[in-house]
Amino acid sequence: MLPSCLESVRGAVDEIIVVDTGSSDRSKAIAQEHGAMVVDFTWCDDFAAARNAGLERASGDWILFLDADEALEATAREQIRSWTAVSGCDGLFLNIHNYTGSGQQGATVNPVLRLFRNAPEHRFKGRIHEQIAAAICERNPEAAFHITDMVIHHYGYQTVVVERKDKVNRNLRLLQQAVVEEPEQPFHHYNLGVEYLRVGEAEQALDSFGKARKMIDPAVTSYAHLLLKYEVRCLEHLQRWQEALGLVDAALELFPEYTDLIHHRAICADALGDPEAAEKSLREAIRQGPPPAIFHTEEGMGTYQTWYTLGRLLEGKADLEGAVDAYVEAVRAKSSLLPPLYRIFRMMRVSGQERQISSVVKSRFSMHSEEALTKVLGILEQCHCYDAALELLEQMPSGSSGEQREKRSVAEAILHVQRGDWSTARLKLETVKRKKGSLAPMAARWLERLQWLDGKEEQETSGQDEVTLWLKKGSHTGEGREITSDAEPGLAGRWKAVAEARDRGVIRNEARLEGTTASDYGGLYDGWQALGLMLEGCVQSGRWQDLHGLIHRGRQLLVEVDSTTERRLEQENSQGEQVEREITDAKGGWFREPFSGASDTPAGTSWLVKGLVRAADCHLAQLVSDREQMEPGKRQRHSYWPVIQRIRLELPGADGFEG
Amino acid sequence: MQNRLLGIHMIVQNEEQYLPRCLDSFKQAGLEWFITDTGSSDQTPEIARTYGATVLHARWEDDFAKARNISLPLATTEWILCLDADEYVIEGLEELMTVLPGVHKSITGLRITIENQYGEGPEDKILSHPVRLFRAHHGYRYTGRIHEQLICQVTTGQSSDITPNQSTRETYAEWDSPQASTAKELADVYIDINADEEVEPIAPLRLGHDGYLATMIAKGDKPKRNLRLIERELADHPAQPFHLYNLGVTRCQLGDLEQAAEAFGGSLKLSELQAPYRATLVKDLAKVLAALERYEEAHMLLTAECHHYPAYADLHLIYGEILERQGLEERAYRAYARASTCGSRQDDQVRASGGKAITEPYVTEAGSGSYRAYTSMARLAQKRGFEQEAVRLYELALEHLPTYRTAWMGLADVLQQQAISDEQITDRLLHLANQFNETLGTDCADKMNQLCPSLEKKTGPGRMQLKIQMQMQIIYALAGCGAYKHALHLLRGETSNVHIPAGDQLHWLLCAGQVTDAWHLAEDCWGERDRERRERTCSSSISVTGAQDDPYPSPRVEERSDWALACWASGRRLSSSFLAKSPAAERDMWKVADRLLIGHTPSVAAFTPVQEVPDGQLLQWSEHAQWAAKQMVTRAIQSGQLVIAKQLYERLARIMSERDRTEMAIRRSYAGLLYRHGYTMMAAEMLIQCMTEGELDAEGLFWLGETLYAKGHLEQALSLFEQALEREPEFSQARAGAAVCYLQLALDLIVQEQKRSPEASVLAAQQIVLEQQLRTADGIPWRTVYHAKERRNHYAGTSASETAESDAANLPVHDREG
Repeated sequence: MLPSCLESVRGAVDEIIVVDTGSSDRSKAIAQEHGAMVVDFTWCDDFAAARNAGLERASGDWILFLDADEALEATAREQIRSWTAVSGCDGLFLNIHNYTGSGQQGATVNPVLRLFRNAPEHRFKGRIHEQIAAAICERNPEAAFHITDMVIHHYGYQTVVVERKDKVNRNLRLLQQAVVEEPEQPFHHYNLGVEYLRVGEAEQALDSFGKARKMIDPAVTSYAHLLLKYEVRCLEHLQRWQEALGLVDAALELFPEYTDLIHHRAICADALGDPEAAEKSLREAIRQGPPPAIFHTEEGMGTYQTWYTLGRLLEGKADLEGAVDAYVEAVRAKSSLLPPLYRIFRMMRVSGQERQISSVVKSRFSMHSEEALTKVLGILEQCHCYDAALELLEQMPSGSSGEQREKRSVAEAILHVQRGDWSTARLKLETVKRKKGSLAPMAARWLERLQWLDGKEEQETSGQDEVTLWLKKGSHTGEGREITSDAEPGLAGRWKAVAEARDRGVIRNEARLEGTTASDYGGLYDGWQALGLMLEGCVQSGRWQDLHGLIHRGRQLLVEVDSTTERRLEQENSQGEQVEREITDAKGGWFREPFSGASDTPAGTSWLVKGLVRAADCHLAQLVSDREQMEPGKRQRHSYWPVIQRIRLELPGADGFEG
Repeated sequence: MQNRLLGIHMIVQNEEQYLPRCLDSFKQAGLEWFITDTGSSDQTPEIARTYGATVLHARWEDDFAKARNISLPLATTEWILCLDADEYVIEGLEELMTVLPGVHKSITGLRITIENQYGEGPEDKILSHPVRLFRAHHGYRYTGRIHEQLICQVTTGQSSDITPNQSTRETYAEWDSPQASTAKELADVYIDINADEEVEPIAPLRLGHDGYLATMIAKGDKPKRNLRLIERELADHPAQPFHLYNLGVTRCQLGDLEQAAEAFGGSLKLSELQAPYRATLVKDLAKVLAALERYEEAHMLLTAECHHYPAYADLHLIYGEILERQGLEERAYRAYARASTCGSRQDDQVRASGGKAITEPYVTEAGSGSYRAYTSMARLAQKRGFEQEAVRLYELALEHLPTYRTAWMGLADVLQQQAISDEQITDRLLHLANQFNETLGTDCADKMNQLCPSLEKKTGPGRMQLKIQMQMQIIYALAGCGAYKHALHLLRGETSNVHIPAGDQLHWLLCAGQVTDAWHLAEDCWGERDRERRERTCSSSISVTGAQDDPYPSPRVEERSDWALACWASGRRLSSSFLAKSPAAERDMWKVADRLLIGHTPSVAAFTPVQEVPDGQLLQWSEHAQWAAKQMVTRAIQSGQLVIAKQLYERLARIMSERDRTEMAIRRSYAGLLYRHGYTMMAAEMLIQCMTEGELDAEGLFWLGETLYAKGHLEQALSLFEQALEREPEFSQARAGAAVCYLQLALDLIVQEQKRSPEASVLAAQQIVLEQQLRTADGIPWRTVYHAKERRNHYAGTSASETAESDAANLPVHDREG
């Protein structure tokens, strides 16, 4: 992270000072490579002291301070000198965009004091969440601050990074210490609450926030609004909706322009079973738009997030048109937002309007690049709108290179597989295979699978596809059937499982030697995903027997993996440290994966679950459309079709939030 | 000496049946009476005169208002009360007389409470609060040919045009529409006279009105007459929302629901938001739409309108019913809950306040805000498995109306669902009744008056009545949930003065296996014994419900079946009196059945068989006879006489010529009967036999699937459901079952995976969603619905089926309790 941070300020500043509190990696070297002055400081659990050590050595007129996991935005780089030149103030606020989770949930935006005049009295205070404003105001009681629109990106709280750095635990520790040392400081309690909330300890967070709230005067405390919002979120997390609502209303009296609160009011109202009030609040939040700059806000409050929430609410009301409008607005507010598209496509599919999807996409969304189009195609596929995807695909200009055309053919073929139209899929795949390009092996594998599904196994015996081989094994041998949850317990059963797995693994090894798996697309549409796509095809074409067979086979495999893992673990325990690890992925032991990724049971379960849910959805869809065919022109639906539509809209499925 | 305070004014035409009751109920001596007769051909005017009323004669000119207005200027009293002949005082007359003199002179009109009884049960009534009481000679008069409205022509010369805001006091006669619920509405609305829409205060008088109980009215004429009048009004004042509304009501009464919906819809479009009848209009429209199964329209209507009337319990209740129909059970529950919060505050306020005003005088069905709502909530809770909650809600309902049969039956049912023994159920119910008895205390007499206004005679202190009423409900509840022995025991108890019809008793005896007693009872009631003996035994156990002429009517078809079963079960043949009492079309059937069961002994010629049909020959029976045969077998199963049922069914089926009956087909359809009555395991065994021997049809496959599903064998259940779908793709229940199985299987997979990899948070989120959707899917009506008495039979059968298989000619199941 340090390199990008240092890069981001190159040229924008005259001097870089890096305080190193004891790194064991290449941080110091990197800093020096970027021309920074490195100050060594022994870490003493005090952020302020560490920063002040750097301030001592600063020679410039203005000081900008950053953390290593932050980066100055490009535009800000250009503006920073102008701001400092003209400003008569003592300090300048910049906006930090905090990215959490996967990045799809947007960012929170905080105004923070990061630029201030260099003066000997300007020194930080506070072990953690060190503050400079107090010192500035002490030196000059008339001190003025400007709020700028310069942006700093902060990536430090993204999930992966957090886990790597264990930041949160450190913060917790420091804050707990601070609270013990200075129990009268509301700021410590507040920060402690924030950390608790971050790790999901809502009860403790609530406790801390409550203590802080009692000590502050909301009129003058700068973070009072944030404190209240977090408290509300704690209550929401604990599902104490009535209390949450009460608190939101009280907070809104103090801060009527704080849009985040209005948005949360809607959430509470909905949870309490009052969707009308929820809708009102959401529309109010939209009307007000994002809150004034002095408020710390979550990105999208009053704009796209609120629109999205409104869309979900309108879905619940069965106002599908209104929902589509809301989702379109959400995308309009933030064009990179994907979840609204997922909802729109699902809604249209569920309400039988799949045919209109492509025209809706064209009329209401503008997609300028092929990249955007590809993204939309991907979403359509995930939402199971295959016909619409194919339609859209047709309208794309055919690729210039052979490879592009092949890619497209394969994409189409896979869509046809999922649609259940295997003959069309085979035609396309055959073409690709014949061309013997880089995609030919994948095409070949798929052709094998389709053959097996169609029951024409005898045609090609060259059989290299692992998945097909595995499937064949299951259908041929009866022993496979013993490995179910009803299997004989204990060692005997497990040995059998292991033995079979070993047999299979042997075949796999042979395949490895012969076949060429080294293609760029080796992992795509393979393994469990391949099984998943076949399940989908069975569902769409109504081949229920085949579906059951595939599911059964999948479940067997999951159990196999599980039992051999246990076996290996037992073995490990009994043999102490001396375990021979075989050269296979994941679980190892003497379990040879029948196909790559087979031991990834969460993935396997996920694909199987998808197939099952899709099967349920298919039946539910037929329930709703049943009577329409009976008397054309007279649509007689079951009286209970609303609940069916409700279920179909809410079933688990791709929604755009997966990391 | 004339009472100068209050005078009663009414118009009548051929009301000799009700008039005495009405006049009697106003016991106050010396009230002034004006009765305007518009052309009676019966004794009405004479009766009126005997009560000392002033009788005026007027020619009927198709104008109610005109007729009413005749007597108004003649009043010599301070106040006038307008009535109809089929109304009577329930309570509050004395109080009214003491309160009236003190009413402030600025108040010129008062509302009263009317209970409109539309059904037999004490809870089947609608409450309205029209203005019927007003000061004489203050400018009040009526206007409108029909649904005449009370208006006040003030001396400031304000125009007395009929505006849409005026309303009516016409009450409706009964109609026969079997579409029932919606048609039982009352358009008795309140009057809004003052320009600033102040609502008149309410007086303590409470009247009853049952002019449209089916048993008490001459049919058809009044609605037709009303229709004529309304159409005339509409011709004069077209597109008047108020008239359109009344047109809708009359259409309901005549059973023309489609047209009623149209009229209501038209009225709704045109009426102003503040119109006093609008709330009732919305309710009536919703009910009609629901009756027409136009649920979506009703849903949209109520979504929009419930805001306007948040305290109108009836609307929320109907909304809940519609949501339930649409499968949206969670939302339905919330709607019922909203209804329950509206409470019976109207009622309480009215009684407690005397002269205080109420703000929202809705026309409401009794209990909409209390016991009806609670009972609906309880039913849903029970369905979802929240049995404790259901118990609590039923008890809550009973607190409001201790004689509410639906709640008693529901309570017994859910207790049985909790696998509580019959003994304990009985104790619990009796205990609850005792509690009610005590807490109701001294104002019990009042309560009784409200509960049973149709009970004209109070045969004892009110408390006693309540106790007896509750006992009867408990007995029915126990029988209803299958605890027949206990019901009978209670009935025969020392303190019991409860009257239960013989037919019901007979059935219970049969179900309880007390076949000899059953036989005796049947013979006593309908058999050929001497009249004296019959009078002795029957009068104490038969209650006459309505029909006054023939005290010992012929048994109905179920009763005949029960009688026959009682005979056979105690080893006897059918008597000649039995055959005499059965309709001619059935006699052959009975004879044949009799012979089939009791054996082929040629003797015992107690009767002469008309047709000697050897078993080998096929019988040609009329449709009625076949239907009766089917009823009989069904009845046999219902009463637990499985041995008889099976024998009869098989033997009859073999000799009936209607269908090609193979062994398997017979067994299959018999299994169907068993299944529907709760003998699921027995039926399942038979169905499996059928399946192994040949093909099973879609319905049979579904039933098997359902039994497996109930036991948690998802994959097999799924397979069976899909097989059923192959045969019959439109079979919605099987399809819904398949969908649910898939979801459940997916959930199971996730749960298994969670054990393997507990950190997979994505799966955890999916699990929550799936669980929620499976709960929502409970709203899809695909499962076979069983009540307590059928639930008992689920696991019955292995022993019974053995007996059935092993039986030869040993038919009768002897009554051990004989």
